[in-house]
Formats: sequence, structure tokens, C-alpha cells
Amino acid sequence: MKTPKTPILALLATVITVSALASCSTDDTTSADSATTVSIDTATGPVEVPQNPQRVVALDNTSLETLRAFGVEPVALPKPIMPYEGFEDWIDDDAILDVGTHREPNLEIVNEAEPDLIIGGYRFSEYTDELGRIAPTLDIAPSDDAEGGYVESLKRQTASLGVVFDREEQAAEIIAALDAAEDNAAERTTGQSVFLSVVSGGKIDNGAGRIGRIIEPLNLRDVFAGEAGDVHGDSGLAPEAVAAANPDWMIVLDRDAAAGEPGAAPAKSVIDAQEAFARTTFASEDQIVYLDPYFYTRESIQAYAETYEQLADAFSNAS
Amino acid sequence: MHRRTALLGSAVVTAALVAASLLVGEFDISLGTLLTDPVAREMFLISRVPRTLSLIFAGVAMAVSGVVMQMITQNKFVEPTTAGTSQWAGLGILAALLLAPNLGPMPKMLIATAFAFVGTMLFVGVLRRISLEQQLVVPLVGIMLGAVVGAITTFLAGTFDLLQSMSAWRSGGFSGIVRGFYEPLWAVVVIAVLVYLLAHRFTVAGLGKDLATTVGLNYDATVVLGVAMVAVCTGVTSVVVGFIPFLGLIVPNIVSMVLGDDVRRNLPWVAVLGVGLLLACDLIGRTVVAPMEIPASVILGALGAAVFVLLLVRQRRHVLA
Repeated sequence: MKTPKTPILALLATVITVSALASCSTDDTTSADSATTVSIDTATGPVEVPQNPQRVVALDNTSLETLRAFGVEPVALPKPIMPYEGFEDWIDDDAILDVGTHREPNLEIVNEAEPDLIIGGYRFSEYTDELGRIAPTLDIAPSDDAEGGYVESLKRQTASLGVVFDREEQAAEIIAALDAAEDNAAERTTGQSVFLSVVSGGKIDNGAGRIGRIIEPLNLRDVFAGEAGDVHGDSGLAPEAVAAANPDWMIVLDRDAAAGEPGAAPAKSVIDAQEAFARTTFASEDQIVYLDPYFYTRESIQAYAETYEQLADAFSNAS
Repeated sequence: MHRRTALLGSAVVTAALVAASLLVGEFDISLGTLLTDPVAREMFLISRVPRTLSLIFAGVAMAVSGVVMQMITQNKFVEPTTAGTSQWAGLGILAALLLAPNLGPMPKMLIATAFAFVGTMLFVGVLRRISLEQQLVVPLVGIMLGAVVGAITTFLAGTFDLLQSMSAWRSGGFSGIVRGFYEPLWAVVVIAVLVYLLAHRFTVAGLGKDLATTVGLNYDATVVLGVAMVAVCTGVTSVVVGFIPFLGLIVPNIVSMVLGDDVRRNLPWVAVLGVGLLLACDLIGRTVVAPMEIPASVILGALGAAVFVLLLVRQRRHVLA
């Protein structure tokens, strides 16, 4: 007779505890978010988030520079995949927790950070559901598949961040800066052919898959666009193929510089030593643009604005 | 008679592949432009000749390494990628990248070779301590050791943000080979000649330690020498072009099926077939997604895996029969 009683008691106890906890948590959120909430359009539909959250976990690295501009200091970051330059203070600050890379993120750490808001998406997009159980999670990261393409979606991301942090005006300024730089660069580019390259491990490869987005709004023609030209990754590209295509310009992402010593320019030495390029237009006219080596880990609206300024300068000096 | 025709046929095919390798590519190079256009001639010397030579040297290196290793271990399934030699060379390259990123290719090769040597000696040492009755255990041990070393390499590369560089290197191919990038591979020619001169020793070593010692061979010295030569071949090839899987397995097996196990007689044919196979894989990779390329190692890997399974099945039939 005794045995059946205990489970019922246990069950009762559990029910009581759960409801107590539940009421606790609802109390917590209402008291913490006495301010308003806003609805934000995300990749996974509209999400209701607190406005001006105090504890922000930022996982989407493209949002970091805008957060910094807003004066928002995250409580946890994926430190290993952040740009090493420009974020030393956040990376070195032990009070800011390290979530790790997107390959094996430590979601316990995210939980430990007790966030009011998680800015996820991008490299962390597959974790959106899990993150959503910890705190409201936004996937507003720029994407190639978004309407209007990557660069357009960068602007929407910035505008959304402006709404969340109540900095609409500042967001509009950042977007306007990109628009101006983009227009300027678009004006200077008049149909020139370009080779988009990534230099990694000392090899010059087709970089269309990684940096092709840059030329989306510009009037440039990727010499390897279409067909197999879009293949990227561990496929190779012979220097003579670049020489045969003879592009007017070359835009280079130096992955080795981002991984190596500060100030080093491995890509430049690789390209300069390339005899096969000697007779091409881009080499003989010195029409090679080296992107910020951290472009790949920044990919922010600010990085794009800088790149468009850089391209506008390069192209106007050339013409 | 049939065998001779087959071998001569393979030599002719390889020669044709060499010619094709010199003439296939994105830049406009043909017999006509070679005679008339100095720009085409220049590109021929910058791009085509170095690439073809490096394919020849790498093919010889891996095929000959396979023969030597199979003799030393008395096992038909051993070659640099199934014995961990390549993976150790890879760890050596990573060590060089980590400790002295600005090293030139030469010291890098020395480090990779040293790692390959130590790793292969370790493999040979492990083999001496286990029963070799089971033919399949030997490559399994090698693949296992290689996987462990590969995993350590990947972990270290991930920790120090060098994954990108390592994967670019590991999926190695010949696409980036131009004048100034392949020259260290000439070392392989020296090794190949040495192996040929010492071929009888390896043939005898292939009979097993007891028999070899009885006929007066310094067995241990032969093993160390063989491993050292394989390490140089693998180290240099790994640094210049990356992994070339299974070549050292397929080619020596096919040749010894046809000709038997005399290393000196086999060696030239192993070299010819190795070169032909690698050239064929590279030419496929060069043309199917032009102007981009698929690394020869990827095509060889797919092909090699299939042949590996085939050889295993054959082996099994022999055992049952």
C-alpha cells in the first residue's frame, strides 16, 4: 500500500515545484523587461524581443561592429572566430565569456551568460532553435539568399539592430555611409573584368564563392563567373588559367595574412612571384586590390563600406 | 609475350599522356603556337613543363615508395598513405607552420621528411611486435596510426587557426605548380635511381628477416635505409603537392601480378605505370570542370579506394582457395 503513494507524492511535489518555477520565471521576465518589446523580422519569421536588452550574447560576427558603434558590449562572444584586429579589448576581457567556434559552440556558456537577447544566425544559424530555448534569439544575419542579396540584407540587419537598441538614427547613418560608398564605387566601375581570388596556404584560388558578393552592386564582370567558375573550395585554379582569362583587375582576400603574423602580406609575395601573371593587364597596370585581411571574419556593413571606398579610390586613380 | 605487349602498351600510353599534359590547359598553347609565338613558348616553360615534370616525379616517388614499403613490411597493402607516412609528413608541415611560419620550402621539407621517417619507423616497430599472419592487420594498423596522427594534426591546426591552410594543402594537387615551385621534386629522381641500384637488397628483404639474414643481408640496415628513402619521397611530395593516396598501392600490385616480385625488374614498369596513372588523373581533373580543377589526388582517391577493395576481395579468394 505504501509504494503507490510515494510516486504520487513525488509527482505532486514536482508539479508544485514546476509551477512555482514557472511563476518565478514569468515574474522575472516581466520585472526585467518592464520596458517594451519589439517585433523583429528574422530569417525564421517575426520574433518578439525586449527593447534595449542589457545582457546581449552576440554570435553573428557581422553584427559586432554595429553593436560597438551603438555602445553595446556583449556578455558572451565566439572569440576564436572574431576578427583579431579591432576587437582585442573584447577578446582579452575575461568578463566576456567565450562561446567558442560555430563548429563546437559551448551553449552552456551562452546559458551561463544569462542573456536577455541572443544575436544568432549566420555561422550559428543551425543552433537557432537551441538558442531560442535559452533566450529570445534573432537571426537577422546577412545572407546571399536574402531578398536583394547579401549587401541589401546587411542594411536590413543594421536597421533591425537600430530598432532593438533604439538607435534608429545611428543605424540610418551607418546605412547611408554604405549607400554612399556603394554608389561611388558603382559609378567608378564601368564593366571592367575582374578576378576574385582567395590566397590560402600560398595557393591562389578562385574566391567567387567567398567574396563574389562584393561585386553584386558594382559594374564589374567576374572572369570566371558562371559554369564551373562558381565552384569554390578545394578545387584548384592554375595560374595559366588566370593569365589566359587576362582580367583587367584582381581583388584579393589574403587568408594567410589573417592567420599569420600581424603586418605580413603573404598573398602579395605569392602574386608578385607569379611569373605566369607577368603579361596580364592587372599585373602590368598594377590593378590589384588587397582587401582587409580580416574582411572574411568581419563581413560587416562597415567592412563593406570600407571596401567600396577602397575600390572607388583604386578605380578612380586608374582611370 | 602478352605481358610484354601489355607493358610496352602502357609505356606508349604514358608517353602519350606526357604529350597531352604538355598540351592541355587554359592558355593557348599548341604545336603551332609553340613554334611561332614567343608568349606561348614562355608560358609553356613557366607552366606546362614544370607541371608535367612534377607529375612525373611525384608519380615515380609514390609508386617507388610503395614498392619499397611493401618489400620491407612483406605486405601488399602498405604504401605511404596506408602506413601513416603521409600523415606524419603532414604533421611535420604543420609543425613547421607553427614553429617557424616564415621558413622556406627546403627546411619545411626537411622537417616533413624527418617526421615521415620517425612515423614510418614507429609503424615498422609496431609491426615487429604483432603477428603478421593476418595480411589485413598490417594496413589496418597503418591506417589507424595515420588516422590518429591526422586527428592530432587537425586538432592542432584547429587550435591555432591553421585549418584553412592545412585543408588547402592536404587536398593537394598540381594546379598551382609553376616554375619555381616544383624543383625540390628533382630529389625524387636521385632516390629512384638509388632504389634501382639497391633493388636486389629489397627483393631479398621481401623474403623476410630470417631468410634475408641467412643469405647475408644486413636486414635492419636495409629497413632503415628503405624507410629513409620512402620518407624523403613522401616528405618532398607532401610539401610540394600534398597527399597522393593509393598510387603506391595500386601500381606495384598490378606490376607484381604481371611480373612477379623481382624489384629490379619491376621498378621501371612501376615508375612508368605510376606516372601514367597520375597523369591520367590529373588530366581528368584539369578538363572536367575547366577552367577550375579537381585535384588529381581526389580522383586518385576515388579510383584507389575501389581498387583497394578489389585487391582485398582477391586476397580473400586466395585465402579461401
